[in-house]
Amino acid sequence: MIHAVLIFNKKRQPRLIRFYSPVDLPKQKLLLEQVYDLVSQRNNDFQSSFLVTPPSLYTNSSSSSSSKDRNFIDEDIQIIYKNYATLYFTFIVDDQESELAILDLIQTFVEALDRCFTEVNELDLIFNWQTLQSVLEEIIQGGMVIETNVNKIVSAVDQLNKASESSDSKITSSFTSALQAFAQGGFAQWASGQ
Amino acid sequence: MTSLYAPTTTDVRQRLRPFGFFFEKSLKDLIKGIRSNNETPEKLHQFLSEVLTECRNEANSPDMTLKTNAILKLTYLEMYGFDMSWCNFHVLEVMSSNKLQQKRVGYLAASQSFYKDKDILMLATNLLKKDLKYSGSNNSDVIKVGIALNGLSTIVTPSLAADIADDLFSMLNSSNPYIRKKAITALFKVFLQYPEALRDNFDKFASKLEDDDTSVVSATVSVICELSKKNPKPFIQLSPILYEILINIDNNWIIIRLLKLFTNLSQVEPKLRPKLLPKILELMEVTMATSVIYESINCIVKGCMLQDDDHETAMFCLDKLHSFCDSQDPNLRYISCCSSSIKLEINTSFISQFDKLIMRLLLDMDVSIRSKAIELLDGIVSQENTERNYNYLMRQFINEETIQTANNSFSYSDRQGISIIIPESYKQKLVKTIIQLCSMENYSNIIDFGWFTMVLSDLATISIDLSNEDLGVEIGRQFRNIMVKVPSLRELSMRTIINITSNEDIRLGLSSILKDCFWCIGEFSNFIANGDTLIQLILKNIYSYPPDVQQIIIPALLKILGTWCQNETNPIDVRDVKLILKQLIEYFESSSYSRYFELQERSVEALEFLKLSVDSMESDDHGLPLLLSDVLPSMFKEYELKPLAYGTQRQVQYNEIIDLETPFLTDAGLRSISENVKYDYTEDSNSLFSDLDTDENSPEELESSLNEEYPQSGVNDLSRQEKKEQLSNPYYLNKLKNEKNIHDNDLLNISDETIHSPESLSAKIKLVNKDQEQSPSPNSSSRKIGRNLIPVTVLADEVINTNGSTRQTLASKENTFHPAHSKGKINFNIPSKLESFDFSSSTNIHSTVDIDDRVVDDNDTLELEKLRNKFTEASGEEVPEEVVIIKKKKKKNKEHRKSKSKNQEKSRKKKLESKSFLDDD
Repeated sequence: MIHAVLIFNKKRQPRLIRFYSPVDLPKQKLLLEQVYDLVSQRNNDFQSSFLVTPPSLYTNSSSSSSSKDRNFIDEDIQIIYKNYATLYFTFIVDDQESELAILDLIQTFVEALDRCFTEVNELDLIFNWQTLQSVLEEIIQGGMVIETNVNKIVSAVDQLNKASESSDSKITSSFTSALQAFAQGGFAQWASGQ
Repeated sequence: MTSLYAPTTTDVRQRLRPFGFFFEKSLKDLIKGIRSNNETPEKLHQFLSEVLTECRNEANSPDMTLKTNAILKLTYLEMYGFDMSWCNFHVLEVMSSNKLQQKRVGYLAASQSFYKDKDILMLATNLLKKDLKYSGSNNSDVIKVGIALNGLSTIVTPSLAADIADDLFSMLNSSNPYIRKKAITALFKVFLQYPEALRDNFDKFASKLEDDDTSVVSATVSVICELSKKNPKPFIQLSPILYEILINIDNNWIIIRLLKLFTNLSQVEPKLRPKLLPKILELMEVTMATSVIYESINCIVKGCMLQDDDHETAMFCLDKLHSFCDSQDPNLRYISCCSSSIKLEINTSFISQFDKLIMRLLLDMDVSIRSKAIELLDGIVSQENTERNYNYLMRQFINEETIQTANNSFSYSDRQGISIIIPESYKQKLVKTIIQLCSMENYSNIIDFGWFTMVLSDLATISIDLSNEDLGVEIGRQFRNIMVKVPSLRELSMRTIINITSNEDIRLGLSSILKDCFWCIGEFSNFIANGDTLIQLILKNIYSYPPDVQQIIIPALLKILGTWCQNETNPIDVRDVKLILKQLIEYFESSSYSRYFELQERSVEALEFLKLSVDSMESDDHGLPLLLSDVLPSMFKEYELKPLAYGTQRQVQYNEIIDLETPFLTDAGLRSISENVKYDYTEDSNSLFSDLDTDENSPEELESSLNEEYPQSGVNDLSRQEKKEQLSNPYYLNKLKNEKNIHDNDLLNISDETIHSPESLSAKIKLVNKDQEQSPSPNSSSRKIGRNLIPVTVLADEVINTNGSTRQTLASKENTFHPAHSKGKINFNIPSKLESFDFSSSTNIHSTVDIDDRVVDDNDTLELEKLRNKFTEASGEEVPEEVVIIKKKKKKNKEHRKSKSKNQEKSRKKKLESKSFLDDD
């Protein structure tokens, strides 16, 4: 499953941090720092999208290649990132996720964002943090991928927003109609209308 | 005078924020604020703490809009590391709002922060159940349930899982695929915490594999895939359906998940292989997607589908991997290492094929790829290529942060001069890998140990800059191993070790290596001709060593002194001895007041012994006192050291029945001895030691030698007191010798040397002397070292009793020595009960605690230990509530049982089907 999604920019400012496994806040911060350090050392044009395991994810300090250690978690956890303009999209996943599939998923995620914002850039994402969260929620739920189709993702986000607005406006509209009815026909008429 | 219509302040406020967000900072304002205050961290921090106080007030406000806004901001601020668990209750309020917008904010905040506080979830259970009520009447209902399911998926606890499982299952019948896929995914976390739900509703769950909607099928496959990793057995019966999906579906995402799933299944069900393998190979031929090809290879290899004689399939996979490896795309090169590593484990006959490939990957410009590639090295090392591999790896240290010109073997030779940074962690990994490669299988790959000691000293120099204590420990351990295991190389190694200990940089930068080095110097001090110089050298810098090294140095000093004094070929001047003794006493006196207990104690013990020696020299100016020439060496040099398999010593302790009750000396005996000693003190010391020859049990002698040496035995679990009892108990000794068939000299720990029955001491001295005669006598050069390469024998670890314990290799021994450092480490493990859940039994409601224990057993980290405590605590607290639940369940149980019997029938049918499916071939 996917354990965490980190989005941050080239200056290490977080844009979105989402953990699907219980991890303490200080450790979240530590991980972000270490991931940033690793990512910023890399040459994105020529190097792969995979990071070496950051120190905080090692559970065992001994040499990693003996057979016993293969079962340890540090072998399983992969950090996969993609760089778009000023932003890094980083997914922390375990061995049940395919590395290449996650790369596709990041691409899908960004495409969905692009569709939502039309020509998405960092500024959009900074000020529309909620939308960013919503889009992510429609792709990943509790660490599991639920949708990979961009159209479905975007329409789900739209529906969510529409429903939220309409439900809010419904209350106000019923309130205003009640006011109007009260003003026009007095209390009795309003009461009978209820 | 105030008018009747004069606005009150609250009115003004109301008027000024018609949309609710006027006075207060919205999230947007907050983000703007962060951006404008971003110049210095201090300023930002000040701004954020102001915002936090604002939020605190706003969250307490009764106004829902205000509260929601505050929660939203707090959720955002968690990204900057500000904990929001204090407002969990407010989050709960926002969650229960009727407005969807507010509900969304509430659930988002909950999914981010509720895991820290399990209690809040008990309060939330009813709310969640309410939100999960899906009538399907209108659109906002769908959305509401969607939001709830989403939030739920990150915060499920065991009790919550049991409560909501039925609601989720009823949702699987929803007409809306959006709800179905979310419910299926949410069920995953429920199954982890409450496997009973899966057992009771297995068919209902599995039927979603045949859903009309691809997203639902995808979600179901994903869930089964994750579950099967933890417990594959129950899902094997689904393999016919899954196989059908694999054949018919056109969605690469689902195919990849299925391949992962089949990997998990075929690890426990080998019958799947003949059916699956042709299909997977066909898939690899047909598909265009590299990701599918890659996963197919993974599935074949990890799913144990590659048989030893199946060269065709192996070559096919290998070709694909080679093409990945040649790719321009660094991602493909990276994954090519990932799957080769697995392949090597399975099929070693391809080693030579991989040799070149790995060497190429080692020079890749991507550090991640290199890092993966060095993990592969242990599959290809042999006697012939060890030195070459080493040279390859050493070159990588030199190349740090330089421009990586393209290697001619690569296709991208036009891209020259790309600078890459080689991170420190990678270099640390290199050091560890080199050591591991060389020490594999009791050093079977090393031909020239002289070369290896050079390697080690190189590594030590490199490790100075790598700031990793463990590396020093590791290298030191290697030196110790060589010293003990390769007798013919001891002189050469000794020279290297002395060089290392006298190296200023190492002393300051890598002090962790010194412990083992000093131990070696002390233990094999018979290779050192002029111990006095060495002692003075060590004493010169003694205070710059950390205390844990000093405590090792103390016995080492005594050992050197002993060997030096014992030197027969080149009698030493008594005045020199006095000088050395004076210097030693000086040091021990100062460190007797050390605040480090161990150091203090050892110093005091040594000090007393040396003072005694000095006294005896005062009284007798001719020649050395026996105390120095005989007794001191005899403490350490009794038997030759031999390597011992890990755990052997402990086993002796376990198997031994130690009599701690019977006093070895009666009170009268003890008194007479101590009188004896007193008497001896007043006379001259020689007579004391002539006495000692006949009476070994003088408490003085035992005490001092025991204390001197005891700390050497780091592995020893016995308390000091027990140890002492053992030493003074001849019964114990006899058992050790006769019943366990142990030769004393098999023990790694020299501490046992001091335990001897009276007649062995005289023989012992001879033995030591003989030993020295055998060892090459010192030349005129200060430290006599010769180099004799051939023949080299590497002593194997000695095993005393293999009964019950497996012979552990050196590598595993070293691993167990490492404590799991869990401080500051991140563990993504989600505690689940699924792994150990027995799907066949139906009554295990009460076994929760047990299961927890077993789950935790798999992981040895402290973190999980904590979790376990928390768990048991929690389950302890929940007991009364759970009783209630169980009572409720009783009614249901009958229904369950009915449906279960139906289910069982079904599953029996299914099993028959799957059996025929499996037996097809």
